[in-house]
Amino acid sequence: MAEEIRIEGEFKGKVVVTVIDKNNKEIAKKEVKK
Amino acid sequence: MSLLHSALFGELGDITIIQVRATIPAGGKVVLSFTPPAGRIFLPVGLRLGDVEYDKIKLTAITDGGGKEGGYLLGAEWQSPLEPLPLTKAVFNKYYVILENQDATNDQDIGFSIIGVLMRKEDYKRIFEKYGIVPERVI
Repeated sequence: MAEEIRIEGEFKGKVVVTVIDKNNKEIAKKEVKK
Repeated sequence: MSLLHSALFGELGDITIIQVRATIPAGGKVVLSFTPPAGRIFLPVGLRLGDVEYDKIKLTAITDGGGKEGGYLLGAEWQSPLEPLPLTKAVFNKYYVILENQDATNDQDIGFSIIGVLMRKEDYKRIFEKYGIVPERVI
Protein backbone atom coordinates (compact mmCIF):
# COMPACT_ATOMS: atom_id res chain seq x y z
CA MET A 1 0.00 0.00 0.00
CA ALA A 2 2.21 2.81 -1.21
CA GLU A 3 0.61 6.23 -1.11
CA GLU A 4 2.00 8.72 -3.54
CA ILE A 5 1.34 12.44 -3.86
CA ARG A 6 2.57 14.46 -6.81
CA ILE A 7 2.12 18.17 -7.07
CA GLU A 8 2.41 20.18 -10.24
CA GLY A 9 2.37 23.91 -10.56
CA GLU A 10 2.52 26.65 -8.06
CA PHE A 11 2.15 24.73 -4.87
CA LYS A 12 1.81 26.47 -1.57
CA GLY A 13 0.19 24.81 1.33
CA LYS A 14 -0.16 21.35 2.77
CA VAL A 15 -1.54 18.20 1.21
CA VAL A 16 -2.23 15.16 3.33
CA VAL A 17 -3.41 11.74 2.22
CA THR A 18 -4.71 9.46 4.95
CA VAL A 19 -5.66 5.82 4.53
CA ILE A 20 -8.31 4.51 6.92
CA ASP A 21 -9.37 0.90 7.26
CA LYS A 22 -12.90 -0.43 7.59
CA ASN A 23 -12.70 -0.14 11.38
CA ASN A 24 -12.04 3.60 11.02
CA LYS A 25 -8.44 3.16 12.10
CA GLU A 26 -5.77 5.25 10.42
CA ILE A 27 -3.27 2.91 8.84
CA ALA A 28 -1.16 5.22 6.70
CA LYS A 29 -0.54 8.90 6.26
CA LYS A 30 1.51 10.87 3.79
CA GLU A 31 2.05 14.62 3.88
CA VAL A 32 3.53 17.12 1.48
CA LYS A 33 4.14 20.58 2.84
CA LYS A 34 5.76 23.69 1.49
CA MET B 1 -15.53 29.85 -21.19
CA SER B 2 -15.90 27.48 -18.30
CA LEU B 3 -14.39 27.92 -14.91
CA LEU B 4 -12.02 25.07 -15.65
CA HIS B 5 -10.88 26.61 -18.91
CA SER B 6 -10.38 29.97 -17.27
CA ALA B 7 -8.38 28.28 -14.57
CA LEU B 8 -6.21 26.48 -17.09
CA PHE B 9 -5.49 29.72 -18.88
CA GLY B 10 -4.25 31.13 -15.61
CA GLU B 11 -6.96 33.72 -15.43
CA LEU B 12 -8.01 32.84 -11.93
CA GLY B 13 -4.68 32.44 -10.20
CA ASP B 14 -1.92 29.91 -9.78
CA ILE B 15 -2.83 26.46 -11.04
CA THR B 16 -2.05 23.50 -8.83
CA ILE B 17 -2.57 19.89 -9.82
CA ILE B 18 -2.54 17.35 -7.04
CA GLN B 19 -2.10 13.77 -8.14
CA VAL B 20 -2.62 10.93 -5.73
CA ARG B 21 -2.15 7.20 -6.01
CA ALA B 22 -3.20 5.02 -3.14
CA THR B 23 -4.77 1.75 -2.16
CA ILE B 24 -8.09 1.90 -0.41
CA PRO B 25 -8.44 -1.02 1.98
CA ALA B 26 -11.52 -3.18 1.69
CA GLY B 27 -14.35 -1.25 3.28
CA GLY B 28 -11.99 1.59 4.12
CA LYS B 29 -11.30 5.03 2.72
CA VAL B 30 -8.68 7.45 1.54
CA VAL B 31 -8.92 11.06 2.61
CA LEU B 32 -7.13 13.86 0.80
CA SER B 33 -6.93 17.21 2.53
CA PHE B 34 -5.50 20.41 1.21
CA THR B 35 -4.68 23.44 3.33
CA PRO B 36 -3.61 26.54 1.42
CA PRO B 37 -1.26 29.09 2.94
CA ALA B 38 -2.61 32.04 4.90
CA GLY B 39 -4.38 34.64 2.83
CA ARG B 40 -5.14 32.25 -0.01
CA ILE B 41 -8.00 29.97 -0.87
CA PHE B 42 -7.76 26.83 -2.91
CA LEU B 43 -10.52 26.57 -5.43
CA PRO B 44 -10.89 23.10 -6.91
CA VAL B 45 -12.18 23.30 -10.46
CA GLY B 46 -11.90 19.76 -11.69
CA LEU B 47 -11.18 16.20 -10.73
CA ARG B 48 -10.15 13.18 -12.72
CA LEU B 49 -10.54 9.74 -11.26
CA GLY B 50 -8.44 7.12 -12.99
CA ASP B 51 -9.23 3.55 -13.90
CA VAL B 52 -11.35 2.26 -11.08
CA GLU B 53 -14.49 0.27 -10.70
CA TYR B 54 -16.72 3.27 -10.25
CA ASP B 55 -19.57 1.38 -8.68
CA LYS B 56 -17.25 0.38 -5.88
CA ILE B 57 -15.93 3.83 -5.06
CA LYS B 58 -17.94 6.51 -3.33
CA LEU B 59 -16.57 9.99 -3.78
CA THR B 60 -17.48 12.87 -1.51
CA ALA B 61 -16.05 16.21 -0.56
CA ILE B 62 -16.53 18.17 2.60
CA THR B 63 -15.10 21.26 4.17
CA ASP B 64 -13.79 21.55 7.65
CA GLY B 65 -15.68 24.71 8.47
CA GLY B 66 -18.69 23.78 6.40
CA GLY B 67 -19.43 20.58 8.23
CA LYS B 68 -22.38 18.81 6.72
CA GLU B 69 -22.81 21.47 4.10
CA GLY B 70 -20.54 19.39 1.99
CA GLY B 71 -17.78 20.42 -0.33
CA TYR B 72 -18.02 23.49 -2.46
CA LEU B 73 -16.61 22.66 -5.83
CA LEU B 74 -17.32 25.58 -8.05
CA GLY B 75 -18.40 24.52 -11.49
CA ALA B 76 -16.56 21.30 -10.96
CA GLU B 77 -16.14 19.40 -14.18
CA TRP B 78 -15.84 15.92 -12.86
CA GLN B 79 -14.41 13.69 -15.52
CA SER B 80 -15.86 10.49 -14.26
CA PRO B 81 -19.21 8.78 -14.50
CA LEU B 82 -19.71 9.40 -10.83
CA GLU B 83 -22.41 11.73 -9.71
CA PRO B 84 -21.29 15.31 -9.24
CA LEU B 85 -20.02 16.17 -5.84
CA PRO B 86 -22.42 18.16 -3.73
CA LEU B 87 -22.17 21.90 -3.97
CA THR B 88 -22.63 24.16 -1.02
CA LYS B 89 -22.61 27.83 -0.37
CA ALA B 90 -19.34 28.07 1.47
CA VAL B 91 -15.88 28.59 0.15
CA PHE B 92 -13.41 26.87 2.30
CA ASN B 93 -9.94 27.37 3.47
CA LYS B 94 -9.41 23.68 3.91
CA TYR B 95 -11.18 20.82 2.26
CA TYR B 96 -11.30 17.09 2.12
CA VAL B 97 -11.94 14.69 -0.70
CA ILE B 98 -12.93 11.26 0.49
CA LEU B 99 -12.89 8.10 -1.58
CA GLU B 100 -14.56 5.18 0.09
CA ASN B 101 -14.19 1.58 -0.96
CA GLN B 102 -17.67 0.10 -1.04
CA ASP B 103 -16.23 -3.36 -1.53
CA ALA B 104 -15.74 -4.92 1.90
CA THR B 105 -13.60 -7.77 0.65
CA ASN B 106 -11.16 -6.36 -1.91
CA ASP B 107 -8.68 -3.51 -1.77
CA GLN B 108 -8.91 -0.93 -4.57
CA ASP B 109 -5.96 0.78 -6.18
CA ILE B 110 -6.91 4.28 -7.19
CA GLY B 111 -5.37 7.24 -8.90
CA PHE B 112 -6.94 10.64 -9.06
CA SER B 113 -5.98 14.21 -9.66
CA ILE B 114 -7.50 17.49 -8.65
CA ILE B 115 -6.99 20.70 -10.55
CA GLY B 116 -7.30 23.75 -8.40
CA VAL B 117 -6.44 27.38 -8.31
CA LEU B 118 -4.70 29.18 -5.52
CA MET B 119 -6.03 32.66 -5.31
CA ARG B 120 -5.83 35.54 -2.95
CA LYS B 121 -8.83 35.93 -0.73
CA GLU B 122 -9.30 39.48 -1.89
CA ASP B 123 -9.67 38.26 -5.46
CA TYR B 124 -12.41 35.78 -4.92
CA LYS B 125 -15.27 38.26 -5.06
CA ARG B 126 -14.26 39.55 -8.47
CA ILE B 127 -13.91 36.03 -9.81
CA PHE B 128 -17.14 34.81 -8.33
CA GLU B 129 -19.02 37.78 -9.67
CA LYS B 130 -17.69 37.06 -13.12
CA TYR B 131 -19.08 33.54 -12.96
CA GLY B 132 -22.28 34.55 -11.23
CA ILE B 133 -21.46 32.65 -8.10
CA VAL B 134 -22.39 34.24 -4.82
CA PRO B 135 -20.82 32.53 -1.86
CA GLU B 136 -22.47 33.02 1.48
CA ARG B 137 -19.19 33.12 3.28
CA VAL B 138 -15.54 32.43 3.08
CA ILE B 139 -14.16 30.35 5.87
